[in-house]
Amino acid sequence: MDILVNVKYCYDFLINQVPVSLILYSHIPTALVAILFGGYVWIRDRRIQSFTLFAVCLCFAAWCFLDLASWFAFLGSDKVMFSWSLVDLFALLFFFFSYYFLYTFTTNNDLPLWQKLLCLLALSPTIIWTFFGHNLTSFDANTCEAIEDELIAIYPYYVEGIFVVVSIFFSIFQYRKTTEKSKVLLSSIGIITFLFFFFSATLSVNLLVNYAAVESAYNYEIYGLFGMPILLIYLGYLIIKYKAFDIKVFTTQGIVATLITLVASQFFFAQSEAAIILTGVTLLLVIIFGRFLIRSVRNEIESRELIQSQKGQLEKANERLKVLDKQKTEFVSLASHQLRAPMTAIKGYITLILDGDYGELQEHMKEPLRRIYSSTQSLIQIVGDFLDVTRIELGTMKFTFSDFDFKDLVKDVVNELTPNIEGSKLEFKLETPDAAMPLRGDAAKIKQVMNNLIDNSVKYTKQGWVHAKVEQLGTKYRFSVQDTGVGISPEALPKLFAKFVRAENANDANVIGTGLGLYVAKQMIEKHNGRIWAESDGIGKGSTFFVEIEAGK
Amino acid sequence: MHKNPTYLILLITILISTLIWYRFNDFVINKNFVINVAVNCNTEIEQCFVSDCNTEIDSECDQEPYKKISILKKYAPACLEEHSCENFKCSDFQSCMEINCSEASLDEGEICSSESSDNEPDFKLVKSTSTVTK
Repeated sequence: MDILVNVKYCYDFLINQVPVSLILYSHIPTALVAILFGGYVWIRDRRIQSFTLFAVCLCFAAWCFLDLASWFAFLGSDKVMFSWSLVDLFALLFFFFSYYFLYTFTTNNDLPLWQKLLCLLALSPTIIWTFFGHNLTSFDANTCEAIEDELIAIYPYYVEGIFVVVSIFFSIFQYRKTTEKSKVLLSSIGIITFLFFFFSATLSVNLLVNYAAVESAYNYEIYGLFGMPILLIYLGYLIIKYKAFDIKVFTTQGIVATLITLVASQFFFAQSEAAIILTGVTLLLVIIFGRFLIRSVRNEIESRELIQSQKGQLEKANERLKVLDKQKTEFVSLASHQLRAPMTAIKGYITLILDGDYGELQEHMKEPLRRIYSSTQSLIQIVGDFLDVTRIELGTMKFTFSDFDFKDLVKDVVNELTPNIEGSKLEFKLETPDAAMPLRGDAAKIKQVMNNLIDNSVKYTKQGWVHAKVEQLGTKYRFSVQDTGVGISPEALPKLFAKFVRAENANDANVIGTGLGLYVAKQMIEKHNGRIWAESDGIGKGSTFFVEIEAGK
Repeated sequence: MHKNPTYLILLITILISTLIWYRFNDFVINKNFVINVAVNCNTEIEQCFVSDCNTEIDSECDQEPYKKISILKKYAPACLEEHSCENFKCSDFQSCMEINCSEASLDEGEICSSESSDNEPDFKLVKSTSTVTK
């Protein structure tokens, strides 16, 4: 400080009035926080309300530094005259920009031209007086203060008062008109409090100096600076709560910037060398950790935003896929339906030919025709599966419920499959109880499931036996079919009843399949509130398929 | 939403920059302003000001006689602001004005020294004030 003292008399005069550290502490951190806040907002968001806020902060900070310099008469009377002459102009400028900010922030529109011109007109006398230096008459070396022209000095207070009143009326008008009431209320309270604090403090000082001649009246001026932190708190809350200015990670950056400013301001009070070093080290640590903290928070927010954006894209893609899947299902349904009719005709005519309805068949033609018949039968089965799947997915499968005997139904299935069973040369056994097993359900669908399970066991068993069993377990009927076939791996078991799934070893048995049969069977049994599952000790160790249905349903 | 009002930024920046530069040039470089200062006054030969206070009641009461000097900063000696000039005389400097005590020049809390032999008001212009702007 000593190296800055050009006029020792004024330095001694000042320290008798007010502690220098208090003036520094009240002006510099406030000005720095205002510049950082305004600058940060403007860098992040280049809209007009950000510019006007930046202008408020910049003019306020300029006012702080000019006011500070005017306190420091020990720098020399020329510097005091220079800074003091500009103080009123910058005060008026930030009053103007505060109103400008309030207007743009609450309306999202630029200030109308007529209002800009009116404001400029109100400011112009001070601009002219400042330009020609008429606002200061001389420098009083006895009190180390510039002497203001009383009439010219009072003019800015009238203009500031008008800005406060206009801001209040505009806020009330805008609050009644807008739907964003909280936003208008918070920003208005922030701006009006800021302006009112400043206006009342500086006006009081002026009145005390000029009319009451109170000694050290300028000391009270520092209380006017408290309005700025209040404004910044309100704006910070608006940014966090309403995403004003489109700013992210503001909370962290705001906290870090405030911490840095507060720690840095401790330099004003650090008297000893040790205290200065400790403050410096603390400041350095706060800067380093603050930087890490901001970076990590920003990364986290960016990751969250990326995930959010990808989630949105996935949802859209999923919706599109659902539409496509439905279209595909409808297409398959249509195609399958169109295929089944001609294949049924082929099968019918081959049956007639084989039965000799078109004349005696030559011996060497019988085997090829039987193969055509068998392949057509397989194709009809496949097309039937496709149709069932599409009906299930489209929710158009119809169930016709009736009362029938479950045991008799299984026996019918076995009878129908007897040619296949006999052709396979497997030992086949069906165990059924003597008692009747009444069941209410769609007999055709249950029959289709039983057919599928027994036929599968026969197809996938090259040698050994197939045992089918029907039994009653409490209130449930259980059908099971056990074989000594290819078996199922433990990995394949859980997904065996899914669509288009076949066990890895299914192809080894030379069986043509689509992987839809068990899926269709599961859907049909579940429609009867039943359960279907499979058990196997592993590949090559056979398997058992179970169906359980509630008795009497 | 409106973009930044470029013309307004430009206008205000030019206006303020010009104004700042003009004031800086006038006050800091040319030191073209008046400073008022109280200097020692010899009551034997001049009508001097003294503070209107009581040394018995007010411990800070200083009843040293003084006269008021108004001088353009650019011509003022450094000792003037430090209040360390001995026997300062305006006649030695340009654009300097010496104000001795009179009824017209009295401010609140001041009285004229009673020792003066001459009761005529003294607002003695030592040199021409034509160069003084304020």
